[in-house]
Amino acid sequence: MSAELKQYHVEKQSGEVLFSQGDPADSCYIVNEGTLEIFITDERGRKVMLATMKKGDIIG
Amino acid sequence: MALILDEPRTASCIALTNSSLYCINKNNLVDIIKKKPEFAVNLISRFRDKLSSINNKLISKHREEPGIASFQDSGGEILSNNTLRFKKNAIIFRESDKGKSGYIIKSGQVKLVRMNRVQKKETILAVLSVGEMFGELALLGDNTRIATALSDDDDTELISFDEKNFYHMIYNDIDFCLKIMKICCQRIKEMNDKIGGC
Repeated sequence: MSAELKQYHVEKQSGEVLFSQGDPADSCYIVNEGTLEIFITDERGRKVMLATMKKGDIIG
Repeated sequence: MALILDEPRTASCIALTNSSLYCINKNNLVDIIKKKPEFAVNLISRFRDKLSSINNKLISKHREEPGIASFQDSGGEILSNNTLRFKKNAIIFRESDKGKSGYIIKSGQVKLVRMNRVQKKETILAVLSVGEMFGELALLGDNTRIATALSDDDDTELISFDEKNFYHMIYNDIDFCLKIMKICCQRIKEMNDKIGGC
């Protein structure tokens, strides 16, 4: 499958935001390498961690 | 999921380490599925696993036990080789059963529920009407039903389909395939809302 996906490859640096709560959803992502965190910001502005995503996981 | 449901993001995502990803937009997703239908089967299987996991959280939150309180295993009236009719409150299938059929609602209404045998109380996961599909998720994975399906109308007619029909449609009908993915995502979202998740 990765051969077919090669053309959709993107890189993100540590600390870079992939998308933010409320953004329109125009894409989904498959993790090839690295670790990403999914979180929400609650009504008091606190960050609530929901999940950690790793190789093979699908985000968005 | 937000991509398939065409809704805004309900959460944020940040890279914790330098990361490599494949970014797929809606058009690309359709192209990939057309070229490699097994990609869709893989995605749908992941959705099903997610549904099972949320379902388990829902059970522990409501302290439910599998089982049926006051509903009847009357079975359906067979109208033809793939059409069945059920009276109100008749059980179409039970949670934890092994299932080899999915159903499309031709008339009437169907409730997907989790039962609490002790309190004789049901938690409604979804109410489905004409044109909607259910039971198809058992055709993926180990065939175990993750909810109980009850007729919610005195004249519920269902068209059944088996695993062979189901996979044939996923592999050959992109609209059907996308519909299945959308159904999975909607149910994940509805059930997440019930457990207070996001």
